[in-house]
Amino acid sequence: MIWLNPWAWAGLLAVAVPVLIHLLGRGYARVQRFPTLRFLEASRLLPTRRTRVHDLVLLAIRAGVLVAAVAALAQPFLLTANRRRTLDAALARAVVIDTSTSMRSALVAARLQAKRIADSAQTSVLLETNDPSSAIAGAAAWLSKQPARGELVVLSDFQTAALAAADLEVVPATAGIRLVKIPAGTPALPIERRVQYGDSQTVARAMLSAERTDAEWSRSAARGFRTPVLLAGPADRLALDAALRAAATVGVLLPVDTNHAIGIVYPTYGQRAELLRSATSLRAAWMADVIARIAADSLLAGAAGAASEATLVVADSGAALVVAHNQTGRPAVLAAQDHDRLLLFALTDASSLASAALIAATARALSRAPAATELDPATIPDATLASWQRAPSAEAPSSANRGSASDGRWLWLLALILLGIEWWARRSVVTTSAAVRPLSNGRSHAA
Amino acid sequence: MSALSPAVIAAIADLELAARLVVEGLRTGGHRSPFHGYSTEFRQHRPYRAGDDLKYLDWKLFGRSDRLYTRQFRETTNLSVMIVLDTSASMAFPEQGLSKLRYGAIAAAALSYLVAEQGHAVGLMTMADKKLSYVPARGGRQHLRALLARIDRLAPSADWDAPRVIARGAQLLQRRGVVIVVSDFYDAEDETRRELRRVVQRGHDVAMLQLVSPAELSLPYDGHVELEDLESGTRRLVDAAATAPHYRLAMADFLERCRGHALRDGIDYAFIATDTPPEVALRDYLVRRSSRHAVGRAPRAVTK
Repeated sequence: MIWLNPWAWAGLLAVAVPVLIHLLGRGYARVQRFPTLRFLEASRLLPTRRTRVHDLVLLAIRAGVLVAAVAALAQPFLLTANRRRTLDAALARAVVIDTSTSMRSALVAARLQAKRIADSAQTSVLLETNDPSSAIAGAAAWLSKQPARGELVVLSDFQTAALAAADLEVVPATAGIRLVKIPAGTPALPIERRVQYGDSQTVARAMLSAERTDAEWSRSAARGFRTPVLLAGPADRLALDAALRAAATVGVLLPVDTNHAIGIVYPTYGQRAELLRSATSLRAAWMADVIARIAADSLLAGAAGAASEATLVVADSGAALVVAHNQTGRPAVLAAQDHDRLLLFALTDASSLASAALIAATARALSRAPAATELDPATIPDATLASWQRAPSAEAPSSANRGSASDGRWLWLLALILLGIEWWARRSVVTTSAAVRPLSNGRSHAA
Repeated sequence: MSALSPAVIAAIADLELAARLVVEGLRTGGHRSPFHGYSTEFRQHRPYRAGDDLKYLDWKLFGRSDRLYTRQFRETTNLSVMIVLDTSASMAFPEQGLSKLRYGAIAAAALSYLVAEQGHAVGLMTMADKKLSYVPARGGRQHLRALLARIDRLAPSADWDAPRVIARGAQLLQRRGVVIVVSDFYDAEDETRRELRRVVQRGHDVAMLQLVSPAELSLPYDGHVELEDLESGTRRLVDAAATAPHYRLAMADFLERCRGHALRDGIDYAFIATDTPPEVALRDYLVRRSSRHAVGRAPRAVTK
């Protein structure tokens, strides 16, 4: 049962009116001592007990009329199986599938289920993302543009950090929210993270138990991974050494992607101009991925932002993509593709902090370690998920649908029937009391 | 003629004074004593002397013997009057102002005063503290004082047994006398009537003074009233406006019934509304009574 106009229930306050009239109309009888009641008995006029019961019946009927009318105004909508199918068909669904690392084992099942859910709706859109919380805004925007009722469906294992109530606030109030938990299995324990700092490696292990979490660190010498290829003139050698050493102080989570080649081209490099000219815009997916991570690197953004005006002005950077900006908003780092290599053109000095930050950011962008949150074995409790869910509002069905959909007419009918009963009951009270009158004393009204 | 209003009477605490005032009020009307002639018994004839009341001249004897004789009477037989005063709880109405019981007490006192003043015997029969309370019929000022004091002390009580009180009161009259019942006659209607008839059959002269307050006649309430029976304490919620017409009819019915029964049984009946001045009510009663006796009894007394 859905109430299309639930605010109409406020009209139930009107039920108080007949009750008040009943209570006030009855009046308060004062006690009056009187010599004898025998002539009252003889007159047979005892409106007290019998009509009091009668009054209550009348009151109940009147209240019933009001309740029926208010319920009719609230436009009830009885959800039969048939109607539910029709309603579902008129539903727009945005299905968000969490493809984050933790979901890897259950992804096939999740996709199947998502397809099934999407197919049962009239219109649907499937979004695959490794960060559901940020994808919800897009899904919500799509839903708000749909004429039909909307519903957001999120399929995920719901690790603790995957979703927050605030993320769901962008969903239109009329759209429903359905959160489908896909059991993805707990990550292997102990959780182990390896971080490379230059030539040393730190291994952190976390052991979880019901009562506590134990963490231990161990540090060992290890061979450094391949850093990006640095292309610079001989004059910059010393400066680059320093920059490399500075970059090594920033840890890189292992493992690191070693299949792809990245070069950083410094202004002092001899063939820089030709490289820039022959480079094409980015095409490979992995490059976009890496650039996105470099661009998001806070260390680089900070360092580049602090850098002064670049001495070198690039003549032609048409194909290149600006990765970072300097103080004045001019490009600080450009990115372009050269065959299967990703080239980053630094527009700052090799000795600058921005140069070291670029090296570190590139190394970190190549890390393939999953984000820390993906290792979280805890998931959002089912109860919390259930509290975030809601059914799609009944507001949205198109007006053509709605007019005939409400079951209010039956309640109007009920109100009419009750009114008839009330009229009959009222009339019967009058007639019975009228019938009693002549009986009371075998004469008609003398007065 | 100014009659003492019930409000003034109610304000007079002393019953004797009230009774006296009422009796004085009766006198101003200039009526002959209604009790005159009852207690008198023919004694002898004596020759007529100038100044004798022609009323007492024996005309029959004059017709036979052509001589004028005056009949002389002797007060050998005192008239005994027994006043039965209802002290049932229903008499304690209205609760403000002059209640029926007080009105009845004043009327009884006035009657006693009147009777005693004419040298007749007067007694009281009533109920007090669940027991019959009895003052034998006697004459004399001392007795009257005691009687009035007794009347003054009467209080309404729930256990009033009208037939028993009336029967006992009549029994205690040593010879034929007058039984005056002052009551609202609400209790045990049939039994009371039977008992009164029995008293009449025994040769007593019975009078019913039915006291009714105006409120009892009209039921003057508005809206819903919970009426509490003064006698039984039961309560009943009534819509006064809707009930009043039926109540008035039933009440009028009852009063008519009482009057009819009294008439049929040879009982003097007087309806007294407690808003009429006591002396007016008593005078009406006494006038009717004396006129009745003038027709019915006086000749019998003369032939004696």
